[in-house]
Amino acid sequence: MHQQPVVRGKSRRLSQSQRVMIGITVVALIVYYAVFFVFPIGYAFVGSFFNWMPTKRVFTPIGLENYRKILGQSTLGLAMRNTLVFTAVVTLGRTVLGLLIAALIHGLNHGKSLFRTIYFIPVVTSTVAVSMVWKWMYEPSNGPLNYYLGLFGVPSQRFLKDSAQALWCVMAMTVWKETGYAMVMYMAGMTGIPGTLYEAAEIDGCTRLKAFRYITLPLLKTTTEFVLLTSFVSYCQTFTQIDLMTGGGPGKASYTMVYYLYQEAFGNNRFGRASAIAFVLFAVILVFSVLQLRITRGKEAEKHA
Amino acid sequence: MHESRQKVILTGSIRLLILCIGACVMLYPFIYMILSSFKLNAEIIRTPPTFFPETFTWSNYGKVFLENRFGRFFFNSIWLTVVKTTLILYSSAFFGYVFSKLSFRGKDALFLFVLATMMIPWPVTIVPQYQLMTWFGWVGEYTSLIIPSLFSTFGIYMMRQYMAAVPDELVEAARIDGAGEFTIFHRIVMPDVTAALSALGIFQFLWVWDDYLWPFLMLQSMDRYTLPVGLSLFNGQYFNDNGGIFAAATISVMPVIIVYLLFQRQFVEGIAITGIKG
Amino acid sequence: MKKLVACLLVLLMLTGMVTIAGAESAREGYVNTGKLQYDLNHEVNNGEDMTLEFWVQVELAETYQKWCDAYTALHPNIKFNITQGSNEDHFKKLGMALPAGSGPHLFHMHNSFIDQFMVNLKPYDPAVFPLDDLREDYIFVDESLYGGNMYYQGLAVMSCGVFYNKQMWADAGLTENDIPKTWDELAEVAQKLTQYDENGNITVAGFNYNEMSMEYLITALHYHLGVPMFGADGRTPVFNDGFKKCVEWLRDLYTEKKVGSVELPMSILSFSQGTSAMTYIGTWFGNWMKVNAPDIEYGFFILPSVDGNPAPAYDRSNIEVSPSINANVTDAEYAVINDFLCYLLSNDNFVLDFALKQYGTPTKKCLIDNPDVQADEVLGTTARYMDRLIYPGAYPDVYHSTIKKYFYDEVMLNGMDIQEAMDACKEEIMDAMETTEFVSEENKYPHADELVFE
Repeated sequence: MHQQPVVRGKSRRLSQSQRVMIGITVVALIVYYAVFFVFPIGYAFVGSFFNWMPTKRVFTPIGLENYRKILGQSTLGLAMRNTLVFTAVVTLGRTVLGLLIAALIHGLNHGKSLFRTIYFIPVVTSTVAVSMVWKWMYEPSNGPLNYYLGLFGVPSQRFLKDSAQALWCVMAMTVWKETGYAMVMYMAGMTGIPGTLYEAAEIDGCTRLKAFRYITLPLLKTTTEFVLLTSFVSYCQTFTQIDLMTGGGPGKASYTMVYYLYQEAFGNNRFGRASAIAFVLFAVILVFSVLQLRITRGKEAEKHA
Repeated sequence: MHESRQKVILTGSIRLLILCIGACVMLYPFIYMILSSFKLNAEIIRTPPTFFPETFTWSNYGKVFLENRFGRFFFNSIWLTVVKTTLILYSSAFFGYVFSKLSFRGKDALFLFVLATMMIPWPVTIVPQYQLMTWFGWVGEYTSLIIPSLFSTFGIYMMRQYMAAVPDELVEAARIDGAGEFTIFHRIVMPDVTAALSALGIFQFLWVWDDYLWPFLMLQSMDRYTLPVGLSLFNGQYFNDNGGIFAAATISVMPVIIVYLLFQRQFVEGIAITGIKG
Repeated sequence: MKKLVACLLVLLMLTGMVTIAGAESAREGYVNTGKLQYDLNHEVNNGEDMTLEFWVQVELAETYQKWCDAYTALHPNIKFNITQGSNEDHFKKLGMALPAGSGPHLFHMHNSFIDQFMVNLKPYDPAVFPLDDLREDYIFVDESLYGGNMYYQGLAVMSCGVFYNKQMWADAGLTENDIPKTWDELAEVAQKLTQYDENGNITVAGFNYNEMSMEYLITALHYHLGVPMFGADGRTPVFNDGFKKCVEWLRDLYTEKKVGSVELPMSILSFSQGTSAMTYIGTWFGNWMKVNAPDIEYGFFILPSVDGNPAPAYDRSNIEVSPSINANVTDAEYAVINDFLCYLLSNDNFVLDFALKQYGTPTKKCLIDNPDVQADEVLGTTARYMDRLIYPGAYPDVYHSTIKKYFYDEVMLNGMDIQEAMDACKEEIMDAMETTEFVSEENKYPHADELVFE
């Protein structure tokens, strides 16, 4: 995990240019992050203890009222559950599908880069544009999806207009859009595994499936960890596709945490309450990240022992 | 032996079949979007849906191009995206180098501090950010779009991962030869990480290109509007106009796809290597 | 030499004529038949240059550009810089800019934002706008006042009603005489207009209230029963048995009478695509149809009363208003802005333009009988019902958006129990009402004695 510092041991004294470089970094990062992140985040944190309505220029302290209010509302639990389901399903979906597609493409003799290009295209398109296109495809009465399903005898579905399906429809779109990212990383990981390993396995009478299970998968562990970690933080903050495709609905069926706090902020003009929601979410992300870090670090420690 | 070869051919064909079906699923929404942008509205909403346009029309594009000072918005977006992406690429590489190849007290703490800022949802920081821009007098200026995203946390994180893969011996050898740290960074390490830079570049390009809410809040003169801000006017005005929406979506997606296709080899490799070293 | 002088003279005369013609054309668009006076010949800002920032929603850009240009033609030293914003985000942008002390000099306003924006606004100058003059010229003057201050003036009265597809109406064998007089007749007409395919699926809905109509329909039907949106305190939303009855009646239209389906697209889209024969929506929709679906010829009627007897009120009215002024403007800017606003409000042609663009009945009294307005099916009908429409005041958007969430989404889509939805909806609206000082003006309705306040 830790890089051995290059300079340590050889020359404890930093050269002139190194000192300048470190100086620039420390000053620039601290100033930049203090101004553009710490100040706004601190402001919002303080605001979570206030009745804060910017357009009315209201900013009066109300203690823990905001936290008490949101914790007393069922919406918070719903939004949190949706957020966690969304994060878990999309992260898993993107990882498993990415691995599967990578394995399939990797086994090809020709056309590898063609397929790689095709599967990666959705990753580099704007969420706004694809959300609009998918919303239209999901349209129950005259969208194409119900029409094609009808050809296979599937009865007409309501998709985004059905509380039981709406969140899953958005998840499906997100997996579609983001699988290519995982796939490309797995493909590169597979390219890095020496072919001799598989040859040896074949001589030992190993089936392809077993070889995949016992050789490929373990060697892709670091890739998997990277995909899982980066997915987690970003999917916990899902907003755009929810806003554009379902508007949190029907009812509140597809509310996510960020959609919920966005509504409180810009819909109800209650920035204090929105901030309280944000810091509840922050606490959850932090707990999960620390857990993840502990598990990874724990394994590292085991290895070194 | 003969049997197993047949099996290999068979599994090979199945593999290809699955991949082709998958590729269709991946491409269908795009092709559908592009083809629909050439259809008349009446055709788009008809059941059963058509795939290829029955009556081919440019009128959807005509509306977007003519009615919305489109050229101006497009030009603003292009230069802004190029400038912002370039600045972020350089700053990410620079800090990535320092975090991975130099050692100083408090380095880990500083890095964690930078990372932690990713975990706060953006909507709650908008009001204080806006206040800042007002204090600095940047509201309405392009500086309000460029300076607050001069550095990218994701970029710094990514470049640090990647720089770690550059052999230390390479750097050490240059140091022994008496090369200054800046020379090493610019002449030796930077050329070695072009792949990662193109990977980061395409993501940044996409994010900056797509950015809507902040530019909309900041820009107060239509001559400065970027493409997404300009297109939002279009959507509001004709939100029944599916053809127009598809045309606008196609226009906004195409530049990124083109950049991707141009640089795809480098950046696909770039992402890949970061992944392994994670 | 003589020739040269003659030439110069001719040239001088020509330029003179052009100048006069220019000034004339600048005045041409200006017609004032009201009491509020505006002097076309005075100088503003001592003739010094000034540029005013003006933010408008994209739909109104053309209208405002035209009248700003006309004002600039009168006063060449005053220029406008018009910045457009999308519908949804125009007010979000203002909500950031105004409290931060930046933002435009004046902007297109909506009355539902008055509570949020008031501290950031400067009222119109009472010296330029004497209230008595305004009351003589306009309706909705007192409804536009807050604490005696005028932050805008209502220019167009917006209401709702039923739009029907004339072609389908005729194809179903219906005539002008079949315009429904009761709720039951409305349901019957809807049944006649509904078309099904061989599997019994609806291909054309007789009536469609999906996604953006039902919430407004419920409160309108509620008015027919004599129940206002808010209770006696003006702040507690009313959810009683009458409300329940309205929701049930609407639900039965789909589930029992099968004249529509939640699977069809949003009401206005479906109507414009020819898959719904009737829908209920705001009068603004009339103009929207002309832009988005010019091929469909539509008719319009106000919702019929329950049993054919006159209803206590037929619907809700709202106003589209004149621009508001940023509190941060300088005195010089304030003077020019007031002059400009006076130019607009005293100008019949501007008010007519604005009202036709928003598609509401103009509030300027001399324009209500305007032949263009009376001849228009939507605006004329609304004008005739004007005294039976309730203006509840600038209530917050969240009232109807929450009703939509519970009674369309939860009841219609998810099958939630109506009583349960009413309880949850009430709680949520009450919670949101904490952020606003709004008090309903339903008790100021001229026929308020016919309403039942709880």
